[in-house]
Amino acid sequence: MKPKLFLHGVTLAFGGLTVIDSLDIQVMPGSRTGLIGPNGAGKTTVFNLISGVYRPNAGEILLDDEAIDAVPLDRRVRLGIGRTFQNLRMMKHLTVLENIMLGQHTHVGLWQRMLVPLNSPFNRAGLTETRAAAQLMGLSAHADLLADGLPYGVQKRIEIARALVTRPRLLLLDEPAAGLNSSERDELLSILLTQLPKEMSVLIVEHDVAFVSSLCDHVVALNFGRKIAEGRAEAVCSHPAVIEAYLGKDDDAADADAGVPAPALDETIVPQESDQKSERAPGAERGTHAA
Amino acid sequence: MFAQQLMNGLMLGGIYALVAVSFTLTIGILNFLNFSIPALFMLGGVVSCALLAAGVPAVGAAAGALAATGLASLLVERCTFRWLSTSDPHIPLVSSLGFLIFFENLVLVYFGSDAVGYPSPFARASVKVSDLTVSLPQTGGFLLALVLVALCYVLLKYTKLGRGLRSIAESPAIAEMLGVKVGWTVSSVYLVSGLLAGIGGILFGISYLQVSWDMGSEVALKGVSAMVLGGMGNVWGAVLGALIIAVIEVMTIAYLNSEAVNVFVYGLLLVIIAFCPRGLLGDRVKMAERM
Amino acid sequence: MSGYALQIGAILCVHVIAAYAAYMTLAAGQLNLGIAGFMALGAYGSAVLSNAGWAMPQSIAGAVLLASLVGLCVSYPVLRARGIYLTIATLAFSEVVVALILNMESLGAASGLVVVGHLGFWPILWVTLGVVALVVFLASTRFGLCLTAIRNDAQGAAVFGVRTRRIEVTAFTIGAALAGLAGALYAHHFSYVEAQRFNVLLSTYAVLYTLLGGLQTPLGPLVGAALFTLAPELLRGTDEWRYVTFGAVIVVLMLLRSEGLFTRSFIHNLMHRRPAT
Ligand SMILES: Nc1ncnc2c1ncn2[C@@H]1O[C@H](COP(=O)(O)OP(=O)(O)OP(=O)(O)O)[C@@H](O)[C@H]1O
Ligand SMILES: [Mg+2]
Repeated sequence: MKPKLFLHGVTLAFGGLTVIDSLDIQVMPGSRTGLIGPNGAGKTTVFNLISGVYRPNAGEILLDDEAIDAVPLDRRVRLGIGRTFQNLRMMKHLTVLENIMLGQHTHVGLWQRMLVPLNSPFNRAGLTETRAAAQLMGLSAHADLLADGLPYGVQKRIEIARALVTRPRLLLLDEPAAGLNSSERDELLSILLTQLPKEMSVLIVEHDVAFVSSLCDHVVALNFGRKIAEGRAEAVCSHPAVIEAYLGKDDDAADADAGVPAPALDETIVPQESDQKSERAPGAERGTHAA
Repeated sequence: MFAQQLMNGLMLGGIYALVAVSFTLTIGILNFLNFSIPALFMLGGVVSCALLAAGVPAVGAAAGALAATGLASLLVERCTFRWLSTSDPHIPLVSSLGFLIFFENLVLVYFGSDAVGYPSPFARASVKVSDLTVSLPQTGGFLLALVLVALCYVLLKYTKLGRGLRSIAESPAIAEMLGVKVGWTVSSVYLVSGLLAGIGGILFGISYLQVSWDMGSEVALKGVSAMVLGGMGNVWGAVLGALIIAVIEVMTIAYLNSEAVNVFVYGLLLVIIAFCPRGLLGDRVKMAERM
Repeated sequence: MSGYALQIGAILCVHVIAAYAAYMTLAAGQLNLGIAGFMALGAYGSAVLSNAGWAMPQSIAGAVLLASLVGLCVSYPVLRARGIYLTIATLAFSEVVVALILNMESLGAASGLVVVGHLGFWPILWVTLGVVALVVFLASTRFGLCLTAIRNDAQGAAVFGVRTRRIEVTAFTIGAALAGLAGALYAHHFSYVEAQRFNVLLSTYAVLYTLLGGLQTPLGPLVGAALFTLAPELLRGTDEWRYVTFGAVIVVLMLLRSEGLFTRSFIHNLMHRRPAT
């Protein structure tokens, strides 16, 4: 079977720093592929490459066997690539519903965009779809509030709803469960497990091993922009190179002797990541704008 | 005739250069187009004029005028800087416009709308060099302007303050982490920038022997153009741009007519931005490095 | 209504339309200080057409067309620049237009141009209401949604397929057309145009009205222009101090309500408090 998405020898450097190093990733049609790796491994950068924020310095990105490197950022969503952002990109002067509606942009004709008010009956199909997405993500109560200032967990769910209404065939989720509490997390997991169309291919970055294991049939582990392991979730998570990447070499040796690497990994990663990430976020964001 | 005009142009250029560098400091370091600079320029001229007229000796009048501009500039800082880091770049700009309107009309109330003769202690001292008339105050002012710009350059390039400024230009948050006193450093940028504008105003009075409430606007527009011409955030570029613009202006008035000045000056500016959308010499961070 | 009130009313209408011209580009996050230039194009364009014997509606329409065509042509190079560069480019454009007019003897140069025909307050008011309705309508469509999205996060909007450049060009052109309309109405109301009037200060005020009123809703410019045109009239007693006050009010307002007077949450609170009280 042909892969839905194929990153082939993709390399990206910022200045002299190679952030992604001849990376190969395949996402099969209808698969749920996980992308894991420690902070700064380059996961978000992979998403930015796929959605066109950056162009690779070498290698190519194939979608359905066609190179998409020449397609600019604002036309990738037409190819059926939908994504969420790790650092929340809410439009703060729009309501929740309007934020979600933005995702429908490419499904609406030019004249309709200019001539049909969002609340008019002529936009009923759009409104219905938006409300359904909002309801699916449990956002109905917030629908008419401004997105700015809503709790982090709510904004995370708006991100996902907005990505869903782009009707993606390839969905990229960047740490969708980060910052959610455990019940929200379980809820999100069940939505992702049951509500996404079977034929949709999903690439998902997530640090929570339990989340990744229950959702993904295939996991790729990155470190320093290189692929260090790939395979079924349990196998990858207990792979020595992955444990080393997360815990450092010395700990790894000690843990290997003790013979219990996997639980240590699970416990160590989850709580730490969400804190550190919010610190790093502004810097990463600024980099993106400068590009 | 031509040599005389060229010299007049260069003298005018000295004043434009001070204003251009004044703009460049806040733009290069804080990315803030400070619209209150024309008012600070005007305050320098008008306050020194009032003090001289009241019989204060020249040094005291200059000191008083600079104290007034410095204070005004710090007042602007209090009300604009805290918005510079927020997402909306228009807020500090509008505040500084408010200050412009405030100061200009305040002076209008006290001084009236007519230009006032400047009681310069040097009046029209000049020497004849072959058939050139060299105005001594103008030449002195021109040299002073160059010395001040050179001092600014040294300040930015070689001092601790300058290093702090450059790190703020990169990222205020990171500068803070590196131990730079951001608040204090930013105040000194405003202060230096305000003082340069104020000195420009005094020199204007000495050179052209009249001041008025709206003397800042035209000069400031030329200063901004000079800055863009030479590349934003680049001190020597601003000087070069100022000299070019002033010479064009004087030559146009001498050989065409005074109405044609703006066609050439702003036409040139428009063409430059159209072809180099980020200014003649690239973007802001690179400029900060070069400074 | 007295002649004086009608005069103020007409000026208010022109200010409102100019504020909407500034609003169109500001809504997409870019500051256009070229409003005065487009107003000059509209004013002189309609004056020339009227003086050539065209009927007033046609000559005003022609002037609007002229301003929007020039706006379209200028927007492509100008919008390649961002932020401060864009602002300065528009300002330079405006100065060039005015300087060119001042150099054209056929347009009366510095002494101005007498315009055939007079437009009273009422037709100007209807046109203004039409403009308000048009902008409110545009803001309620997906186009308006895109403008806000671009202002908040242009790259984020592009990820969802918004062609930011096209939207910006469209907004800039509509803004140019509105400014042209404001200029044409002004010329025909006073039956006289003078290039010096279309200076930076005029553009600056249009922008100020809009930002003080607030960008979040299409009614912001209306509120801003109305408040800041009429308030000085009410302060007439303190004639010479009113602009000092105006400057101070701007500074204070930006400290207290940096998003402008008329924000979405303000409206939201207003609507949701009503039933309770
Ligand atoms: N625009 C940029 N300019 C320079 N360096 C960048 C830029 N974007 C990312 N980087 C660097 O690339 C590396 C990978 O960053 P990336 O955001 O992809 O990591 P990540 O795997 O998503 O990490 P996290 O788990 O914290 O989200 C980091 O070292 C980061 O500093
Ligand atoms: Mg990331």
